[in-house]
Amino acid sequence: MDSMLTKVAETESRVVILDIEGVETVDTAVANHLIKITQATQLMGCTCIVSGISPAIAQTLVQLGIPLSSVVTRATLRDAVLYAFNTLGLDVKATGTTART
Amino acid sequence: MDDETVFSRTGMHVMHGCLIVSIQSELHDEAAHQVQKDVLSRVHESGAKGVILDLSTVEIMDSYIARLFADTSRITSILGARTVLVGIRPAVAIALTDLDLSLTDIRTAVTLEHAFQLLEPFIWPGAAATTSADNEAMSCDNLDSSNEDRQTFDLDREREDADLNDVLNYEH
Repeated sequence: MDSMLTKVAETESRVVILDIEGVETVDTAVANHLIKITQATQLMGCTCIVSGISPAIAQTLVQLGIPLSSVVTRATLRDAVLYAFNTLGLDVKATGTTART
Repeated sequence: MDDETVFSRTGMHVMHGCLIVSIQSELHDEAAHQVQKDVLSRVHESGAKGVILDLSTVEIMDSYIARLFADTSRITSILGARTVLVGIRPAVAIALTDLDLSLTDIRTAVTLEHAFQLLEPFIWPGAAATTSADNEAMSCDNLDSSNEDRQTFDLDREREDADLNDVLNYEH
C-alpha cells in the first residue's frame, strides 16, 4: 500500500490498475485492505481500477458489506486498460505503415 | 495581528477565476480554522468559481483538520465554487483512510495541472460546452476554443502582467 502510493506520488500517475487475476481467494482482512488502497489512491486524486476479481473474491467483498460503488471494477486487465485510456483521452490506432500479412 | 501571521503563511491567489490556496506550513487546529475562514471570505469576495487547495506540504493531518477541509469543500460548493484538493501525500492518504472518514464526495487531484483540468468546465463554461467529452479535457487546445474565452483569458493575463510590473517597479 505504502509503496504503491509513493509510486503514485512520484510518477504523478492519474490512473492505477490493480490487477488481482492471480489471486484465488482473499480473507476479510485482505479484502478490507484492498478497499483501503483504492480509497487512499482516490484521496490522492488518482483513479483506481481493480481488475481480474475472481468470483470467490467478489463473494467475500459482498459478504463484507463493502459498498463497491465508488470503486471501478473491470473483469479483465484488457477492460481496465481500455477504461484507463478512456479516462486519459488516449487511443491506440493502427498507423498503417507496417505491411499487413 | 495573530490573524495576519497565520494568513501570511497561506498563499492565496486568484487566477482565471480560480482561487489557488497553497499551505506553506504544518497545520494545527487554529491555523486550519483560520485557513478555512480566509478561503471562504476570499471566495465570497472574488466570486471565484473554483478553489484549489494545495496540501502537498502537509505531512500530518488529523481527523479534525481533514473534516475541516472536507467541510470547506462542501461549503464552497454552496457558495458556487468547486474545490479540488491537490497533492495529498501518501502517508496522509493512508492515515485518512484508516480514520474511516467519509470523504467520497471530496474531489482530489494528483497535480495542479490535473486540478485545473477538473475545474475547467466551471471556470470556462463556454469551453465546457464545446468539449463535453471527458477525453478532450486532456488537450490544451480547448482553452482557446471560443473567442470570448480567449478574450477574458488575455484580459486576465494582461492584468496579471500589470500587477507584476507594479510589484517590480515598487521593488526598484
